[in-house]
Amino acid sequence: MYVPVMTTCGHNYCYDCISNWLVSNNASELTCPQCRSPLEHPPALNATLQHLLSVVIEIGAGSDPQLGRTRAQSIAQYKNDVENNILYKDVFNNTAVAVVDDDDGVARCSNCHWEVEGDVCPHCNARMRNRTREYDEDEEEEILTDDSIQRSFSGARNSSTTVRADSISSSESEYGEDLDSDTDYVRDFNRNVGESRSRPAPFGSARDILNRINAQDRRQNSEDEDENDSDLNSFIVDEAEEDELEESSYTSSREGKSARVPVRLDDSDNSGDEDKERDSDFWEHNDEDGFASGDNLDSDGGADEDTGRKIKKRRFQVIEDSDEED
Amino acid sequence: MSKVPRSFRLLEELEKGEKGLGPESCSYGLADSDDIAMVHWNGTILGPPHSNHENRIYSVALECDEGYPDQPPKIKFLSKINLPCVNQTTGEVESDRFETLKNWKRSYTMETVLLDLRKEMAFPANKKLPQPPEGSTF
Amino acid sequence: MASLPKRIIKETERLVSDPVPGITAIPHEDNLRYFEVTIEGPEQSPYENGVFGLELFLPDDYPMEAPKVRFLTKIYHPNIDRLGRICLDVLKTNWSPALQIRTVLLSVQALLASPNPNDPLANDVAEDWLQHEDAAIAKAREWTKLYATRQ
Repeated sequence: MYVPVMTTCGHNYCYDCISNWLVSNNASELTCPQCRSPLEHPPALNATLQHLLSVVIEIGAGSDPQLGRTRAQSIAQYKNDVENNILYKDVFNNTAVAVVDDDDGVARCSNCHWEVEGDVCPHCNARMRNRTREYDEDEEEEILTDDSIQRSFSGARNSSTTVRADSISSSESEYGEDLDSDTDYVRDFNRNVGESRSRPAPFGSARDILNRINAQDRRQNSEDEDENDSDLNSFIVDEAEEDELEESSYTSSREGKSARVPVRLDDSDNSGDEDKERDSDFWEHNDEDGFASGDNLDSDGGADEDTGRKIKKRRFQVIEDSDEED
Repeated sequence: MSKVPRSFRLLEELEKGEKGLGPESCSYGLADSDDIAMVHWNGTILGPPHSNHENRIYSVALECDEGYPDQPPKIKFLSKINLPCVNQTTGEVESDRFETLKNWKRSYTMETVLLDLRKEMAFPANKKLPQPPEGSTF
Repeated sequence: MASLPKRIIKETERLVSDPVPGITAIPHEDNLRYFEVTIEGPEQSPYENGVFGLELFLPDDYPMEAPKVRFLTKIYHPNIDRLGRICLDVLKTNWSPALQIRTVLLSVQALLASPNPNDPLANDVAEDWLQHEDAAIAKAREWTKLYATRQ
């Protein structure tokens, strides 16, 4: 662990490892791998731990050139991210709201106008803040396994970052020892899982683990809701100013004035009859890959009489501008 | 890329099929939902437009044995169809006459097979072949 | 095959050197991400004295993505369907990279000890469980005897 960072809940991770986790984490809330606390702020460099580790590594194994390189790379990566204001691939700033398009009833990302299916925009990777958790878990799994979401991350535009860029220790003393980021990670979580009091040890009763997990889940859910309420107003205002494209949907939703309007989305609307009316070009285009290019995988839903296609229902809550937080 | 074992690969395909995430021109699912080994599957192919198959729905049976997906599935038409790669007595798709089975790759899925069969139907040399009456079976 | 990440090697070594009581997990020789698993039914559950076979696979993105786990032994349980698929939060939405193969398998064992018919995967079983719990438990016992007896 060359660049240790600490979460607000007090757990330490290697910068690379935690970044990977946060980027791949498609749940509505970013969480600590260790205790599942929601992470509202980016983990900060733990300079003390970094110093201690550098001492340990030096004592441990003098001058392994390869580890020296790995270490230099890790540190350079972190520095680069600090300088460019893209710590943690910007996941802490890259958020948006799902806005239901009045024309077609489809929920879209307020950042890029892409159709939103899960908690994270498949196009710009922005995290939806007004996602509800009422849908079927199986549905979410399909989103989680779709690694295209993760890979299509485009670094997305962002303004007003408030990341505090702690400067990293620049002393390039040789690190060495048979440690690389993988082992670091294992050690890190072994230490935490095995010894931390915040969580039952792996040998503890399995039922305890489950109970614990459930309890945390409940707590987390309630916190999710609070979070949604508090952040939305300012966000919507910012976005509307910036983004002409969004004007129409925001305006119309503001006129609604009621605080929350649950909108039911039914993906399978555009199936069956409609498809039969499409001309041959449509078929020719859509045969090859199974879906029209540029289309979200799910939006291509056709009703196949034979599969008894499961009708998907997703619920979004569109949270509209109101005065309660001002 | 690591090698996804047969059963998890088939579960992925099943999920895709069940959720209708695939194209609308074909579908597939387990023949017996109790079949923990997931060997026998049913599929349908919607005949391509501008061909003698237009508006027809063809049923096929697929068999993914132990060798799948390293080996291709066996596939057999249940609905009668006149295609060069389909054995006219049994309905079986003959692998040496069907490129997808002949040059099978591990990344291919049952969906690949169904879609490629559909392309076969739309192939210029095949699309106007006289077809047996709709609804007849092998 | 690409080389195995150190984390997987460490986990595998520990599973062998320091196994969890009542659980075995052995990697296949030709695919070290693919494990043959057995779990003993927890005491005082309908699955007591049963030994259940499972398979577990660590996808490319593990540990950022959860392991895939499935029962190979038939089992009558409201959260396990007829294909052996398991409905368990830590395998889906509640996955965390701080979890390991061993903790996941312990969670599966815990699921056997406390079925949750209110969050079903196998709907018919869950209904049975809610309406005639005694009969459902008896059936789970019977299936355990039928399908999950140690050879």
